[in-house]
Parts: sequence; structure tokens; C-alpha cells
Amino acid sequence: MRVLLVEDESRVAGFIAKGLREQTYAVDIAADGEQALYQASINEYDIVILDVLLPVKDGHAVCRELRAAGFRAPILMLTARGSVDDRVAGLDSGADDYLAKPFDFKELLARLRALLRRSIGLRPQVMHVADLNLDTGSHGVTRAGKDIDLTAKEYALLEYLVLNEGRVVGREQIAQHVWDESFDPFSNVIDVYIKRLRGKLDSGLGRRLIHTRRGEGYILTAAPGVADD
Amino acid sequence: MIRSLRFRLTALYLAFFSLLFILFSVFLYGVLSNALQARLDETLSAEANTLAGLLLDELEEMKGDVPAAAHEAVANLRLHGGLVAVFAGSDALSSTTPLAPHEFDRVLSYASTNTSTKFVVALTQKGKYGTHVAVHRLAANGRSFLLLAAESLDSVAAELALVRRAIFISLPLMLAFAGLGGYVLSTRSLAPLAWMASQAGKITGSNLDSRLDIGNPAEELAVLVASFNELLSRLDQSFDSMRRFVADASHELRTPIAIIRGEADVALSQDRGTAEYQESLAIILDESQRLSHLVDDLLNLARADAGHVKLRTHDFYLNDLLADCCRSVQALAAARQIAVECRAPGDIQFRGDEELLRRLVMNLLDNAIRYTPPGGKVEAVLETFSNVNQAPHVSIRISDTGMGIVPEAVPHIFERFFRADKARSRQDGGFGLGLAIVKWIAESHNGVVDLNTKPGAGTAFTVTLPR
Repeated sequence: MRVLLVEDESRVAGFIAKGLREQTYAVDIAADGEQALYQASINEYDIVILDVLLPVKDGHAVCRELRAAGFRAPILMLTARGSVDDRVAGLDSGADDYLAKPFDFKELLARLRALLRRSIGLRPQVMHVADLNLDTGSHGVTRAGKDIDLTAKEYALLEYLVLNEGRVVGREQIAQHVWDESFDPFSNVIDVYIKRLRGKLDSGLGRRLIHTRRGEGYILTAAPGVADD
Repeated sequence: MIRSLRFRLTALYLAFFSLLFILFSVFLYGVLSNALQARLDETLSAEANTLAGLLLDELEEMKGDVPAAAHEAVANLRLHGGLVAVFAGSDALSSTTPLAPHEFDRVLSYASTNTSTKFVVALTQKGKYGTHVAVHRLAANGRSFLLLAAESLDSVAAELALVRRAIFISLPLMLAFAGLGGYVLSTRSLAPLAWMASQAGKITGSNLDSRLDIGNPAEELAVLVASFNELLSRLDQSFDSMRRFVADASHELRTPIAIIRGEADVALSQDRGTAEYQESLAIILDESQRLSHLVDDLLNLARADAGHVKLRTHDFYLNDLLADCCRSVQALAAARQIAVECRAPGDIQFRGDEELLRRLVMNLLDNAIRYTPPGGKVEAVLETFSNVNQAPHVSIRISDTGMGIVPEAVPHIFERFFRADKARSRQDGGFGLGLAIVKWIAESHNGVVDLNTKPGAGTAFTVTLPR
């Protein structure tokens, strides 16, 4: 899941990004309203965390402009002002949820999960593909009852593939949703991660779930008759 | 009850009206009583006159038989019913009813000391209410006669009693009406007050923008309403600025708290290396210092607002203070490649609160350094003025070659939490309280702060303090 974090206070942005990255999110930081709009226009984000008091262009204006431009991902507003009027103004400008600073990090994570669940169509917290179980809350993965230990990036990649179960996803798409702006499009880092995932998921545990489509990308499916190219 | 204005007005009205009524009754009664007695006296006098005429006629007719003539004259008037009598000297010659001894002694003694021919004597002892006696003196046949017509005051008293009864019966009625009238009047004139009170009672901190409205009030009440509404306006304004201050303060407090909480929260969420913990703790420490600095500033301003800060004044050298301050910002300025220059014309002794004035200079220097790009220059200049036209004063001018202040921001620059460039100053650790504190300190020393700025060229703050 890729997050755009819009926050001018660098230390606030610092701990939020750190915490989110540890939770497998790919995080890009924008320090002002204009930069946020620019980044949202060139990248695909699954969710936006937006501070209200921003230099250049404030959070409400950014929110309105994003929505006017057809931006559909959920927006969580973050602010140090927590009065009812502020919350109403935030929600009316197009935000989906509102969180007042200071906040519990657990709450921020729970709200992000809730918003993401809704935006990708209602789905349960624990997703299944054949004998593969993926818990989006605890980030626990099991296959055939066995715990599989994944790194944050591996988990994020697997989650993205499971979310798009049965659909071919291209490298570009994966890069957009699993990696942040530091991703180098000319590297083969995605192929390396796919290979590692396969090693942990598919080796000796029955049917292979992750398949390669040459020239197109990857597909995760339990359907029989899907063979690698 | 007794303290109620309506009760007091009613009581006052009642008392005044009662007094008026009683005075009027007494006056009326007195006039009536006099008039009735005067009429009686007139009647008696006429009767005595008639008796005198009759006696003269009878004396002539009886050819000098005085007792018979007196008897005849009295008999002629007997039909009138009143008491008439004829005296010769002190001897009673005749009377309509038998005279008790000494009955008219007072009349006779009065007549002997008096020479008037017609007079009226009031005998208070005779009869229940006293008796009036009209006397005519007549000289005939070489003798002096006194002709008396007397009547008791019973009829006068009876008439007066009637009037008294009427007054006593009407008095409570009149008082009841007066009381009722007073009550109605005071209720009517106090009604707008009750309406105002009920309206004022509905005003709380959350609807201070509402105003009293009593339509078309009397002049006195209009003044009251106007001054009450002005009071409300002033309250509303100070409440408003207080609310804004609290909102701004809570926002400023929340940012460091959010960083401290969030940083600790994230750091503790999993096991980490020492370096990572150190990094988090350094951030937390730094933010805590910022927070305590902010709390200090806020407390100082709050105390200043409440008027609790007492100046600890003593004599010191302003030039030393300025040099001290310049030295302590030297490191910060050098790190930003900014030159700090300090100038004073010599020793300048000053009486004031040294600690507060140090704070003032530090805040101004801090501000100047913060808003000056690398390679710039900050100047602190101390000057004294003493000419004949003005009281002697001293000025501290701190100027920079920074970005200046945009004209729109100038009127707000001394407001609390105002920052011309929000993003920049927050990064630099400013809260927007520094200049508010400068202004307060200058004013607490009866001084003023002036500002001279050119966008892009620099800003100069001049603090002028009387010596």
C-alpha cells in the first residue's frame, strides 16, 4: 500500500513515515500543498494522510483540488485543531476521516486499515487464496497451517498480489503501489523480491501460487491450468 | 420584600399620598370649623342686635320700667329658641331660661375690662363643646345694659363630626387606591428592568454576541441598555481574543506533544538498535525543551496579563547588557554566517528590570538572526537622547539585512502567535510569541517599540525607554 504523507513539520512526518514503513507501507512525504498535488498527479497512491495547516496551500484546499481532479483514494486528515467546526470543514472538503494530533499510532494504523478496506471494496481482514492465509491486521501469513516469516517488503508485495488475485499485475503497477519514490525503475528489485516470495511460499508446500507472465508481469492464483510462460 | 424596588416605590408613593391627603383633610376641617363658628357668631350677634332694638323700644313703651322692658324684650325673642339675656351692669335683669349663678361671669368681667360695644366671648366650660356668647352694649336711660345671645357649639360640633366621619371612612379607601396606584405605576415602570434582567440572564460565554433589545425604552433605560451593551461588546472582544489565544496556544502545544508521543510510540513498537533509540530520544529531548520554552513564554504572558509580574528594578549599565546579549548570540549567528555588530556611545546607566530587558534584547536579536539569510548582518545600537523639548530617553535599535516584513503583516507583528511566514519560523523554533513579549516588556517600562521595515532589505526594531 502506498501512502502520500503531507506534513510540513519534518519531525511529525519523520515518525509517521518511520512507523508506516515498518508496517509495510510505502511512504512518500510532501512538505507543502503544491508538492502534494504534484506528487498525487504523477504517482498512484492508495491513501493520503493530509495535515491541515500547510504552507503554500492548506489541507482543505489540497483536499478539494484532489477531489476535483478525480482523485478517488481515501484521504485521512490530520490536524492539531480538533474542534467540531474544524472536523466538519475537513470532512466537507472531501476527506474521509479525521484524526487530531496528538494521536495514538495504533489508532492511525487502524484508521488507515479501515479506510483501505472500504476503498478496495469490502473485504475481510483475513484473506484466503487456496491454503494461503493473509491477515492484514497482524501481517501474519500462513500456508497450509504453517507460519511463513516475511519481511515488510515481502509482505507488502504479497498483500498487493493477493488483493489482485487472479489478475495480472505489471511491474510498473507493483512499483506504484508497493515501492515509494526511491524506487529505481531500471533495477530488477521486483524480480528479486518475487523470487524470494516464491522461495518462502511455494517451495515444497504444494501447488505454486505465483506465476510469471512474460512481458506482462505476475499473477497470483490458485486456479488450475495456469502455467508459467 | 422590603429590599425590592417595587415595594419601596409603592411605599414611598403611599406615604407621600397619605401625607398629602391628611394635610388636605386637616386644612379643610379647619376652614370648615372656622366658617361654621363665624356663621354662628354672626347669627348670635344679629340676635343680640335685635334684642338691643327690642329693649330700646320696650324702654320707651314701658316709660322707664327697666325690668319690665327687659322682660318683655326677652320674651319677644324666646320663640327663637336660643338663650338671650339682658344684664344691667352685673345684674341679670331677664333671660329666656333661668340663669345658673356665675354662668356669665366671664362675659361680665370681659365687658368690664373692655369698652367695645359689640363682641363675642367663647365660654369653653359651658356645655359639651363650649358656648359662644355675642354681647351688645347699650346705654339707655342713663344705665348701661349688656345684651347677650348665647348658643352652644353642639350643632357646629355635630356638623364637624359628620365631616370627620366622612374623612375617616374615605381615608383607608384613598390609601388603598394610592397603594394600588403606586404598585401599578412602579410595576409598569420597572417592567423593562425585569425584561432586561431576563435577557441578560440568558447571556453566557457562548452567546456574548447577543445584545439587549427592549424596543423603545425610556431615556434613562436607554442609557442603561446602551452601557450594558457596550460592556457586552468589550467582554465579547476580550473573550474572543482569549479564545483565539487559547486555540493558538493549544495548537502550538500539540505539535511538540504529538512529536514526543509519536516518536516514542513508534520507537517502542519493535526492538531496535541503540543508535535508533538514541536518535528518537534526541528528538524527544529537543521537543521537550521546545515545549518547556513555550510553556515559560505562555506563563509569562499570562502572568503579565493578570498583572502579577512585579518589575524588579535596579540600576545597571544598558551597554553591558547589550554587549552580553550580542556575545551570547554570537555562536548562533556564526553558524548561520551572520555578522553581529554591537555599538554603544559609552556607559549608559539605566534603572529597570535587568532580567526582562535582557529578554527583550535577546528576543529581538534572535528574531533578527532567524530572519536574515547567510552573509547578512545584524546591528544592535544603543543611543541616548536628552534635549530640552523631551524627557531624557534611551533607544535600543536592532536592525538586520533580512527579508523584511510584508506590509500586510506589519499591523499584526506584535500579536501573539502571529508569524509572517508560518512554515519557516516553525522550522526555526519560533512560536510567534517573541515580539509579543518584547512589546509587553517595553510597555511595562513605559516604553514603546517602533518598527521600520523594507521587504527584501531588512527590518529595524527600535525600543525607546524613558530614563
